[in-house]
Amino acid sequence: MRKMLKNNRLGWEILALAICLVVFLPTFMVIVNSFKDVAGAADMSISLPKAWNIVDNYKTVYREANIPRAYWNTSVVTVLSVIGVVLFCSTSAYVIQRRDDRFIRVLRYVLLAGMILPLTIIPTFILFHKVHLTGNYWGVILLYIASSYPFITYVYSGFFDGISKEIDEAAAMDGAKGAGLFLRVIFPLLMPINATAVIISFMSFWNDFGTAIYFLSSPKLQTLGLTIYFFFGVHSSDWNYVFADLVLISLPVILLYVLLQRYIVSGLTSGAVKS
Amino acid sequence: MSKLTRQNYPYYLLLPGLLVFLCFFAYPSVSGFYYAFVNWDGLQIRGFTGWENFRNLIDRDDFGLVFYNTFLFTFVTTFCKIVLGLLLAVLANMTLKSARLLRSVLFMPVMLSYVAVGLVFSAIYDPDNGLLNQLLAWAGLGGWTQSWLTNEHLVMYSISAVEIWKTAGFCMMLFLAGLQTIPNEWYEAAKIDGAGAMGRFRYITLPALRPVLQINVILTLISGLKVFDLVYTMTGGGPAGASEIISTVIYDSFAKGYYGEGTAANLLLFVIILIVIALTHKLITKRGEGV
Amino acid sequence: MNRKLLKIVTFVTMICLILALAACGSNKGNNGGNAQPSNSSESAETPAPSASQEPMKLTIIGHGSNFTTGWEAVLADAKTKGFEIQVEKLPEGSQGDDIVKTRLATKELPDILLNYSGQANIMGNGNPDELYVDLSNQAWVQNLNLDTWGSSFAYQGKVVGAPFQGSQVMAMFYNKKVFESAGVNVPTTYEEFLATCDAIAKAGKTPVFLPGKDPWTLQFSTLFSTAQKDSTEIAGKLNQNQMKFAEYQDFKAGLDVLKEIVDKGYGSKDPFAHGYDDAEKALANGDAAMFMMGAWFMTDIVKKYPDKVNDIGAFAMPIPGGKTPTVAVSPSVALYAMKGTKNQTSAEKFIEYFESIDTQNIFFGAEGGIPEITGVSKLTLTPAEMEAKAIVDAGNGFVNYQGSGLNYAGGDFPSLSADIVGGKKTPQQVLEAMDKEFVKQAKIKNDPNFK
Repeated sequence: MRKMLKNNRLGWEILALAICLVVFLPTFMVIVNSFKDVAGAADMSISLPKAWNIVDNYKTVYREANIPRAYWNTSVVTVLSVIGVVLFCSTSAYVIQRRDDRFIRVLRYVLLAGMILPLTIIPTFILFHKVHLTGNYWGVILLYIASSYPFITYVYSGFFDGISKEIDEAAAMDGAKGAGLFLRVIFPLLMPINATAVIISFMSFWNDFGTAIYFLSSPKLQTLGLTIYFFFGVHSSDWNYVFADLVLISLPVILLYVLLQRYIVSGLTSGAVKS
Repeated sequence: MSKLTRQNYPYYLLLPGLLVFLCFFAYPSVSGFYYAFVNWDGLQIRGFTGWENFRNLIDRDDFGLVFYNTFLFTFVTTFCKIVLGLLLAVLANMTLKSARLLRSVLFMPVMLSYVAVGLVFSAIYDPDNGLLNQLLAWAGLGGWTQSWLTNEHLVMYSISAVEIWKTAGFCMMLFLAGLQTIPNEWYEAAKIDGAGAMGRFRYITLPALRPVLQINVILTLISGLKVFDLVYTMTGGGPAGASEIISTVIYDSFAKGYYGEGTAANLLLFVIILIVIALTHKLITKRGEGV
Repeated sequence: MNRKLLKIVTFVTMICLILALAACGSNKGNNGGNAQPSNSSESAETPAPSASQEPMKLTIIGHGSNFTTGWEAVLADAKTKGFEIQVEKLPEGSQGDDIVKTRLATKELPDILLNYSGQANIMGNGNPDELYVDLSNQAWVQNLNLDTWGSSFAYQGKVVGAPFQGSQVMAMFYNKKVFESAGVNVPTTYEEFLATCDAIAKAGKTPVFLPGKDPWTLQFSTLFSTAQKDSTEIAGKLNQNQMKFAEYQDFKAGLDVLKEIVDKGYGSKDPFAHGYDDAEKALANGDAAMFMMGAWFMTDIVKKYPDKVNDIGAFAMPIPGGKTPTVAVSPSVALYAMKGTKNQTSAEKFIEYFESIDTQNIFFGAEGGIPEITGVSKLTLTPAEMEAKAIVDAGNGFVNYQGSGLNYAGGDFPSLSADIVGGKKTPQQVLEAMDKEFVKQAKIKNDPNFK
């Protein structure tokens, strides 16, 4: 197998690179168009800019979209929500997947429906308003956690399948119980899935627009996803600013992914499925 | 139920998250469905209308087309995303030097917003100046150039391709995580028993990936049926309604001020997805052991 | 187990308490979702020895794209006059409208709402008498011609909206160089118009650019044809259910023109492939001869193709039937002072200030547009806009069917226009669709005229 792979390796490498190139092209377009001026960006081609406008574009976006504040707001909301999601969903999935009584079985279906349930924003907003959860971070954080809960829990429970119950029993026999068992034994084994959950939820909260626009639209509370729409005009838009804004918004998510990628790949080599 | 189970899997670990979910999401959204049955303009309710909102939806001339488009998009993207995601995961799992690059580049589209993607691909698909037609012409395949987004027979496929480009990397990532959990010893043992590459794939890889496959299928089905941002940014439902899907109909109703009708459409979509997922769940679960 | 459980319960309870406290605490100064500094409510009311020293604070909510160069200039001046204004920008289109509706529903009102004008919009958010302050007694109202703009800014005789940005003129814009090279002049009758299209098509250029990707651009032939003196009267009849769209001859004329342009090949080759941006480029670069649009697009031309600005002119598009060609004028968006907010007095003062001739001069000196307020002297207009304005000044500019008098929007006219371009509907079918939707919308509002 190793020999065969070595011979074919070049072929695979080339294939991989070719795929990378094709897939990367549109992303490249976003980046390169953020360097152009208004007329150039409106063309949206892959050509390099005729008029290099990087500094001006990014400076304007930085100023008008109030990037530092937007970064801060988005970070606070996203990080807190992600922590909440990982905490609540891993523990819930643990119980749901392992325990098997009637309540849990019904709950599984409720959560499945919960994944599909659409957010009807106006009644939700009115409800949140009544309990003073609008106009601040907490309403949004709770809503983000609550709306991602079914999906992420589902993802976690899927992976719990791969962790043999025998581990729980072994640890229990050593005297570990309940939350302690979970925190000390199970949670560390979940690292790849934790990384996955972090990336998924981080991404969706970071880029969110539909919820943030209702709860966080005042200038002090604005998040990054909202800033794009400043550069959309009634009839036509300043695409170079839009793209520059998009690049600024996407950078942290990409960085996070590059960092966490390692955890997913390093896998469970010292892992759970030792029998 | 054994005392062991109750001790190890106590409810108090489950309750906080569940409560947050129920209070702050499930309850408001479900109670919002009430508006599907009244005459609501976003501010006031002017009377109970029963099923009238739903009847108005079904009366639309393009009702059949809307359904067709939505389901076409869903099945095409799901099939392609799963197959491509799996193949790419296998490729990325090999110890190639470019593996890390592959993983990063393929996942980048997932992280871009739909607005960016919609804008860029609209430009790529442009019949005169767009990249795609230009590349085809340059490669001597000039006869293959099309009006990708304005040909009513092609438009849904063109949009599906963009969705696949954007999210196949996500499926790949999930499959990859799943592949990582398969211990090498299993493959070694199979090789010793004389299994070839295909055999190993069928009898070790695929079964081990069942839970991931299930998640992937369900997720892609749901996102396919719910798709909105991409279609809206690229065609707005055009040309002349050829790419209308259920979500654009919902958006349309709300935009015209028919909030009750929009909510009814939303409820309808919810029920449809529920049915599709229930069927899928039964299908996949029957073959395996269960969630 | 008991100890552990206790620990966890305490921990969770503590977190909940902290969250609750934080939520309530941070809301004390955040009443209304507008992050105003926490002592704003006190300082506005305290009487001060000289009113100009005390800052007048107010919040404005509106669609983001309205706040451009003109606004920036006024904002700078307003600061010196003691106004402290916080602007909250909304996204375009129905998303922004939804947010406005939600704010109204939860009574989180701004001091000033910047929104569309016209009867349908004034009434669309609830009872205008309850929502908006009556501005009729402010000084600037004397400078507003209520015959032309009454239906845009007033409700039952009370002026509730103050004009913001200029009125828009919609006309047929053309590239003078293309006309020259094709050897044609500005047409004054419909037959001449068809001949002009023909000559341009033979010269290898697109006669009338139709950016079908943005369907709203396809409405203009009808917006021109219904821009007649009696359009407000007809709107009234439609409102009273005394007339149907199917009987609206001027409306049908506009649809017929659009259909003829497409059928005879005088439109774009692949209309749905190109949008508004492409249209601007084509007209500026001379690939297209004519473009039906509103004068606002000249602002983009100034930005993107400054050396081509003088190549573009405007004329009134002739329609079949022999009536004098007209251009359509539409009112701008409006500032509404919301009743009952903390800073209502400041809001009213600001509107007085904004509509004064001095401030209007600042605004229009920095941004193009034709003011609704008469007496504004500083204007920055491109040649095309001047030509359009000349037509209006000559008495041939009118509000069209969408202008301001209709109570309901009727059908989705951009989409219906797209159906004509795509060959999916005939003009008669479009008229029927307009009627169907109009009746539906009236019935939803329990309009007594439509039972």
